[in-house]
Amino acid sequence: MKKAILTITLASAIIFCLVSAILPRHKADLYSALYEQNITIEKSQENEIELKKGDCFVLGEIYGEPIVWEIIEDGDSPLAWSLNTICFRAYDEKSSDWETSDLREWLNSGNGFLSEENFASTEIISSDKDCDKIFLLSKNQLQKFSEAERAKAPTASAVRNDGSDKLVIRKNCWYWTSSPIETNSSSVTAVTSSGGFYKTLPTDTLMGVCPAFYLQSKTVTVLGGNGTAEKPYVIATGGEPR
Amino acid sequence: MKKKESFPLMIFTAITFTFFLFFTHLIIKTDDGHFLGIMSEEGFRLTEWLRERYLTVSGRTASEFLMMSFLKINPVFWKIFASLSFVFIAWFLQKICTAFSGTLTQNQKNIFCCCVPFLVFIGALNSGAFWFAGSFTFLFPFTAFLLTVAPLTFDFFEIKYNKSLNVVTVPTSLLACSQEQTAALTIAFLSVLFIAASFKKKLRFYHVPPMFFGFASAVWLFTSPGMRGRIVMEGSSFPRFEEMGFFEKILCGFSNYFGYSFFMSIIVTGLFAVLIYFTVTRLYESKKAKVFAKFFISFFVLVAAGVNGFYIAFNKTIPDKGFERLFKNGGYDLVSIITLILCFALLALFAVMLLLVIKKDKKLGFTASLLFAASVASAVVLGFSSSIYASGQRVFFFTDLLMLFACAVLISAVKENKARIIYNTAIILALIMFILNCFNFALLEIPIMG
Repeated sequence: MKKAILTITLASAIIFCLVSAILPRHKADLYSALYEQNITIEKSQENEIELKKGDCFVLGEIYGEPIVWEIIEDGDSPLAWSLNTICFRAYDEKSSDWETSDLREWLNSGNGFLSEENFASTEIISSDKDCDKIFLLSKNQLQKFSEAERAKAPTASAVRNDGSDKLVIRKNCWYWTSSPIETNSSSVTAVTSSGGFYKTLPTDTLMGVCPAFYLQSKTVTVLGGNGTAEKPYVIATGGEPR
Repeated sequence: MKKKESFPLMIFTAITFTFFLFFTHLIIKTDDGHFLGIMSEEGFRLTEWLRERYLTVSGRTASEFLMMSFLKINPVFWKIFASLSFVFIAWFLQKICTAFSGTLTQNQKNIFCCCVPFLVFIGALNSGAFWFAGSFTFLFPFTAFLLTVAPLTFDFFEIKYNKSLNVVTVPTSLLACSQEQTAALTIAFLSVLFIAASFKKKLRFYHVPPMFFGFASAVWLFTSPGMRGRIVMEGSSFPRFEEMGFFEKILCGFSNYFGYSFFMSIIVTGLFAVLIYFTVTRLYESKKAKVFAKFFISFFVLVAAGVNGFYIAFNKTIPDKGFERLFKNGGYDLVSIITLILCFALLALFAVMLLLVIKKDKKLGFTASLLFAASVASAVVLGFSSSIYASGQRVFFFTDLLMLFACAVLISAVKENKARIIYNTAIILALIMFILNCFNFALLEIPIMG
């Protein structure tokens, strides 16, 4: 009996040390297996189409991976929302106020999210009522969706670049909304991995970002794709991924 | 305690401290982060906040005061305090087991007692003990409950202890009765022990203050305006609750208990079932009793494994979630009804087995029965709360611990070779659970918690 306990303890200690040592180096492979998106970027011929609710298209990239967007609201200026969590970032150093947040600044900065490295052109992006090109959806906007629809998985590149030594093995991840918590000014409303609402501190760096934007027009020129998540439209006018 | 007999507790203490110090951490995406944020707000004052909480959200003033005080300081102090609380549970159980003589040596019983905390179902254990915010609602009130009842319990069972323990029973009674479940446990156990001790002429003057202060703390808790407000707020997730009658709420509570104890925390309930089975077969020579005991254990396996598997295959969900859906929607399906009937039958068999133990060994039987009844009651009483399904498995922290306490008491009555098999199994299981939790807390940002 003592031998059995000793064996189990030693074996576990060895496995633990091995996992702790090996995992950081092979995290990328693990995440590629779990989160890699199977999308096909197809360029055939130019075509003018009207985007409608549910259509998916690629525009821009981050960490070298194309960003897939989904139309979630129809209209003359359709609302597009990232299909996945594209990166992990803190909201702000201290405040839960969206307007003054570091995340808002980064999302709309030419040196940040909208850099030339990520977007060759942002012509088709319109500004919202607060003059932001890129923003986060509010809790009110997200309440129109079911929990299943709100649940978002991260991209493999987002998880690889999260800067954390913790594992992300759940299918979906938490992400920010632009709404503070009603009961206090120190927390931000977040969507949980199951699609529900909860809260977290604005300094939480392991929180996903799912940006949204309004398009200038519902009529766009596409170079290929069929509008599905697997074969999203490739938008022309310089917005296509390189 | 002799050196060899205190060795298991020393090892357990080292393991507990190591785990708390190196593996547990504040989890920002939970109430840990929420309360941290509240505390960092400009102009935050603890007394104002506690007052507001009492009037609007919760009557758990003592535990919330403790939580915010620990949040202000380095987390290592919480880790040390939590480790001590965890170790105290094992220590208390070891002391109780000295009152029951059987074929196991005290050292073997001590080892089993040290395994008990890690045998609690992982969903209840992690959120009740290893999570910062959860520990102030579950681990610390439970430890406070044990500290409060300790002097009366030890005097009743004629167990030697350091009488200076009586000094802490008043403050611990305030903490114990600052949470609904432990308030009920504290008042119930103190009342039962009071009556039992007075019959045995073991009642002393120093047993009275914790009863008085505990009762006052419970009144403070249950009459708080915040508690009523919280019930309304959490009732929004269970709108049908207001339509349910008294008996349906009891049924809801029992279903909650069955869903957890019979179908999730099978290790704990299984251990208890096996120990009762061995106890009855040891106490009774008659063939009838042995056949009945065999029927009992077979029925338990049928329900825990067979019915569980059938329910999952048929309803495409675990019984716990199935029952939740049933009471939230009001649609009683046949499979759930049959499952509930079988669970009630199993519970009745547990009761009959315990009565058989009482008949032959009153001290053992009554102690095990009281602990089992408290375990069941602590889960069933949730049927009267609209937030029954809002908190996850951590609400069963007491259910499992009390049942494991009953297991520790029963193991003293089992024949040596069978006892050795059981406590070897318990050691291996506890070790596996501990190791799993090391991986869980080390590798995951949000550890698996119920």
